[in-house]
Amino acid sequence: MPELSFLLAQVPQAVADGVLTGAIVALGAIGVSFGLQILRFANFAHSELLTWGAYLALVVVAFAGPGTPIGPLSFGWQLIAAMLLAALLTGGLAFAMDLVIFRRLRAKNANPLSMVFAGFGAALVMRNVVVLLWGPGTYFYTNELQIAVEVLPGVRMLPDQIFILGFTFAVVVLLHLYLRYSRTGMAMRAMAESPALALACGVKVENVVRWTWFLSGALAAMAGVFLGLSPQLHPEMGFNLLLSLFAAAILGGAGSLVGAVVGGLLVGLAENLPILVISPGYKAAMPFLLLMLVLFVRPQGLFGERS
Amino acid sequence: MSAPLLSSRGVVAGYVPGLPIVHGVSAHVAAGEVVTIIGPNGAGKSTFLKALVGLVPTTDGTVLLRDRDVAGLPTSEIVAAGLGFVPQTGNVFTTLTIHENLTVGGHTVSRAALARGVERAYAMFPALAAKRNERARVLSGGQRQMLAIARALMTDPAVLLLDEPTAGLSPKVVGEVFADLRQLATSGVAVLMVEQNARAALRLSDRGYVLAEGRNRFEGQAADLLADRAVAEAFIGVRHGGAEGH
Repeated sequence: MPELSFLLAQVPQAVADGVLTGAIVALGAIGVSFGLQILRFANFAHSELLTWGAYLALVVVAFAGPGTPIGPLSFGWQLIAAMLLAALLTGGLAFAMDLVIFRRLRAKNANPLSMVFAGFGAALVMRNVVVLLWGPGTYFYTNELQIAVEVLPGVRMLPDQIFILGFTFAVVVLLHLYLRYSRTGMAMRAMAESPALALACGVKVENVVRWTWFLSGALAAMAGVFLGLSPQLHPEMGFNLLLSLFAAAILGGAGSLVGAVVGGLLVGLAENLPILVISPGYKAAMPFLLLMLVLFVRPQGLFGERS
Repeated sequence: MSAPLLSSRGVVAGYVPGLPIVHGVSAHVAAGEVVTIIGPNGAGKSTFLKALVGLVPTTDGTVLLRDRDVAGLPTSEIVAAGLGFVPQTGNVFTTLTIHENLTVGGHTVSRAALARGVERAYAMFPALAAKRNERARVLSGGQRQMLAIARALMTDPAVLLLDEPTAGLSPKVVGEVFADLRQLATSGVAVLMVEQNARAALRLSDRGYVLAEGRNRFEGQAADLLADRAVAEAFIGVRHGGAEGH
């Protein structure tokens, strides 16, 4: 057992690592949370959208190159542009997934369990198509080496990681403003509370559903690119994050943007802080321990609304 | 009487294909009228209203809204065509503010029309204006009903359908809701509602329909229905001699 003073000295860095992991998880968990509350089912194919987003950005980078690094970052404007393009394409992929699979099931009044299993099937297909197209190996967006900088006493981060945190924060703020003030954002929140009442109000629920798919896909792509930046892409990168995404969404409370973000951060911290004192082998189990503790007290999650 | 704004003829509707709950119901309501549908539990009253607004599929019959057959259209199109609907339960978004509830109600209209609708709603229900930025969960039962009605009016509908608008409200608030509905009708809106509080609703109404087992049983002027002994005893809860049944 390490000495207490040594452990305490490690805490700030573990918190920083946890926040970074949490930021990526949060971006992915927002889509899962939307899925649970607005689309009304657990979409297990969501994690594959992260993988696809990362690989679609890779294709753009392969054509355009990573570009001259911006300042201390390991990549240039090309990767940022590639990420935005991948977000659009992955949003379109999510939209297409709904069109081909889930919309048909909704039209037949399929129960949520059928939707869940359809999601499992879609996930398997999507993951194997990635292997088919890009192979099972790993890829990097850039080969630039980075040196960690001290951002706070006892906390060192790579410039790319600082960028990820800043970009994620900006996306979350923009998304919050969108959900809070735009008419479509309000309709999404209305749908999250009561699809039947939203329908009775004349809301075009199918349009809201399609937009939710698109938005979830776009956010997943950004999470995927950030995951690929730290540090590599591989076909199971999204799948490996699947349980963390669901843990974050449920911990925060389905349908809540703030909940997904806080849930993501808590999952990140739960994965990184306990390994200071216990074997890293238990790392993956920690978020679920936290999830169980929270759900015992608040079954609707931290920011979820009691139905 | 002016021409009906909403007219249904022979509507057959139900939740499960092949098992209709409404068996060929006809009804109409004109501008400025308040019309109440009464009947025992399970008569298909609420299902009929939901069928009119497209929330329950119709398998036969016509629903003319301002001379346009809207039967079978998606609810969003029917609402946009001029039909407002206030459901019985869970009729406000409790996690949204009052202002956001109104905005969602005006989802199908232009921004300018939305702004006008919001101002009109606050003028009609000042209690809502005072709490515009509060979540709807803080509202009392009567205020929630006001909000549900105000939200349904955001599209400036020609016809307003209400499913038991006074359910669960105190007698004082019931009177206020009915007064609001009468005021709406005076402004030219056609009001068609389903009510369990049959006697009070018919007193407010111009005409009424009695449904039983998913079919039209009686119809006529509200005063005539109230005076009809058979209707009163069977459907309004009034025993011989005029005493309230419950």
